[in-house]
Amino acid sequence: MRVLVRTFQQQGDQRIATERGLIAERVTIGRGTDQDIYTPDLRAALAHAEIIPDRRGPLLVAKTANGVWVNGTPAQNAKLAPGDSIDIGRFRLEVLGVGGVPELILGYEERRSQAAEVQSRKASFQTRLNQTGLSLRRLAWGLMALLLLVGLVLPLGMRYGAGPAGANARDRAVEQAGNPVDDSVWLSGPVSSAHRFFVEDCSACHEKPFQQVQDSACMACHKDMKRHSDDEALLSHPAFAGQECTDCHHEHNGMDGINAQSPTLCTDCHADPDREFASAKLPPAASFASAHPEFAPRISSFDAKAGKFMFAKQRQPMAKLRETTNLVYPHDVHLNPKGIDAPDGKKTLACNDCHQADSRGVSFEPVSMEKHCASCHRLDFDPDDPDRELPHGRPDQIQGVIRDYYYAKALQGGVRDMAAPAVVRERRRPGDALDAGSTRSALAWADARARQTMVDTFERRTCHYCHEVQRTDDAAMPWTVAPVNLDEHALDGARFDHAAHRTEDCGSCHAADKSKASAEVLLPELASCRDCHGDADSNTAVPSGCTMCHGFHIADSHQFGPAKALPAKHPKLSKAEPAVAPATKPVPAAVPEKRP
Amino acid sequence: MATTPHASFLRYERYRYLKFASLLCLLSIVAYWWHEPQDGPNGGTWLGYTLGTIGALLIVWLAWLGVRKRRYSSTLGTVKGWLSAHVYLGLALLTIATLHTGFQFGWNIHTVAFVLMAIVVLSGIFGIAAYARLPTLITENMGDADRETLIDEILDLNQQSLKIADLLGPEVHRIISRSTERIRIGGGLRDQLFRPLPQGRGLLDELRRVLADKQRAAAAEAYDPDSSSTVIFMAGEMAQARKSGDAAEKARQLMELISRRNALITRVNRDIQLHAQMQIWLYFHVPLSIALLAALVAHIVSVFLYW
Repeated sequence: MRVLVRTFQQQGDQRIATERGLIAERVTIGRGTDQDIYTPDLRAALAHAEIIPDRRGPLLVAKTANGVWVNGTPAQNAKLAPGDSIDIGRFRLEVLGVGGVPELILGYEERRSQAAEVQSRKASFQTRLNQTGLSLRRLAWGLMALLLLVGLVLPLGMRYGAGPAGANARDRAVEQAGNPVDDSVWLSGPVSSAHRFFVEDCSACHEKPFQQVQDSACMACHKDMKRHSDDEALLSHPAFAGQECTDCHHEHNGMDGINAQSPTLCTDCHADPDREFASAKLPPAASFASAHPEFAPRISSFDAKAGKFMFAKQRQPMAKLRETTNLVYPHDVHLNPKGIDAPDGKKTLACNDCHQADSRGVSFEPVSMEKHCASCHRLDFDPDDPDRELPHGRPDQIQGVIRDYYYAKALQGGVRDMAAPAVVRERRRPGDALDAGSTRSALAWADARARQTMVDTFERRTCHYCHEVQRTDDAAMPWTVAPVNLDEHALDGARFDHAAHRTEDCGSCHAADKSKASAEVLLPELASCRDCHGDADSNTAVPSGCTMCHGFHIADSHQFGPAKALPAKHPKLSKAEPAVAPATKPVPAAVPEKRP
Repeated sequence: MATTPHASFLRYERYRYLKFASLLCLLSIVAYWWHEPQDGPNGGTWLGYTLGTIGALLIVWLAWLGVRKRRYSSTLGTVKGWLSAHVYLGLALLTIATLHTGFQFGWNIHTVAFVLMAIVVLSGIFGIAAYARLPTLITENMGDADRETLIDEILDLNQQSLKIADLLGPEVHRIISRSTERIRIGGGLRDQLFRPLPQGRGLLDELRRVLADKQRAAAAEAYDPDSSSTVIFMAGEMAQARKSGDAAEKARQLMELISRRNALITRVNRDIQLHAQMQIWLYFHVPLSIALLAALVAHIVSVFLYW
């Protein structure tokens, strides 16, 4: 095999090549001085490798078990092709040509001196963290860019770029929900369930950037929200004058609605209302468990002259309170556990036989004579005809009904009444005419009988049983029956949901089974509520904040919205005069009166 | 901890900043405990805004340490004082920012900012611990030597052992030659932090084969697959060389060189590891601080944009 070895040497700036030819069976390479190509590097073996001719071309065969590095990988043998490089310690052989004449041209070069080799080896060690590809600067700038993009630029683009189109918040929210890029990373907390349907449309509430949510955003939907009072004097007080929705209602605080739960919102004023609102004459309420006014039910009294009921709040122990209903109704008799006499035998009554829950279960349907009383309290007036009954609730018609009944009876004849005149007693054929004398005598009997029955009905039996009946001088209407008050909503200042208390027995709050008169007020005392209900932060009783029973938006007419121009200091306030009618003075009822 | 000079910044001016930071935390906690906002504690109450403002100012000031420590001519306090305040106020920040959240967390930029802040502070705590503990270990390991000299010595020992191995025959030379090629000093991130891996299996198998060839089955059985492999191999080699006194002497020398080299490699790698452990926290602390500044800007802008 003929081999040309081209030795390169660096001299100054120049790279000088010298050539020598070899003719041998094989070319030996190694650290031994007898080798054809001498590589004096301690890491090389004395006989490191050989190049032998093969029928496919020159073949490199390693003579050491460590192998030879060909093109950067250790090999035991390798077919040589132009461009291959063989590293032996700090020496490099490069295949420059193969297959011509000579059969092999090798480049030979000492890549670096022994000292440089050591330095290069040393430099190849990674001994510091910053040599491992970690860079504080790159990490810092990269993370900063990422966070600014995701946390600021994209959401800002959503806000000021082409936002979702739609006529209302819901449409825009639906449109935005389909957009994979959104600004939900800015959402500071879960939106209340009621507002979720437009949660994607931030601008529905946040109308202007860098401006707090305004009432106008809330009022866009909540149009009819009432204020706390109808008294403009009170509303001009600083506590109310600048009031905004967001003072009490904070969004992004969870699913359970945005109504403020803290009792201090109420008790800040109501713990000592006289300090700022003396004119309202409100009792102090600082805590349900320990400092809450006793109940003040609306109690009825009857103005007989005007024929109207008057209502006034009265704050007294329930046992002392008496109201006027103009109805004779002893609860204890009706609730007698042994039962009461009914037309068809003994009957035991329960509360819900008369007090039937309304459709929402919050309160009760009104008690009605026809539905609840009439099956026992029959309105018959003639023992001979027990199915004939008087109309209820129409005392003006009763005289006519009874007279007509007896006139017809007298004129027909056949009445079995020994005291009646003969014309009334005798049976007649239909169509037989009576003479004037007989007719007069029959009608006189009927008049007397009707009078007697009416006295009985109004003063002894039927009406008298339950109603306040008064005899009058008016011949057209000789008796009047006083109107009846059956109004049950006696606690106006609070909500009470009977359905929520369904598991309780009626008697645990209402002592009806011991009540002898309808004038007794059967509402429970505050103390009986406190058996179960405690303060808002109670751990041992039902936590009951003010808003469990009381509302804030309780004005009848005054609404939130564009504020009416009120004087900064209302004259009424400065004089501290009663701004509302004193609560104890009876005021005419606005409720429709019920008549017997 | 307090006895090493590295921890002395913690005691700066008789714990002046520890006292200040503790007071700040205490006031915040008392205010948080006393404050009863109507809809529960959150970042949007007056106390929330106050704590948030204090927290944001603290973050900016704490990050400013990176600027201050590069300004060698600055006379605004000593760097040691700044570092002391940085540590204690950074710890206080964890309390203040947590109270600022009102313990409301979610998948949003606000919580991202909080988590970044927490990681930055925690990595700082790791840094303090590292600075308190590791310098002692580094000194114990290195003594008066420095790493560069030791590496030079390792490479020099490689050359010397090759020379001796050459005299003991090509097989020994081959093994030593490969061993010198394969020494591992430092390495990638994992190698630096958790010690270099032992030598690859290829070399071990080859050594076994060589030993079998030389009919030293006993030595091969006792062979320990560790970086000291060369040493054990040499022990066997020495046993055979005992026949000729010169060869035995050379083998003993070679073994001594290799074990010295390996001890040095262990020391250098231990040094590299300790230094890596002492610095790795910075790779969390610094980039995440910068990321935190970005998240803080996004947090503040978004909160007030959608006020």
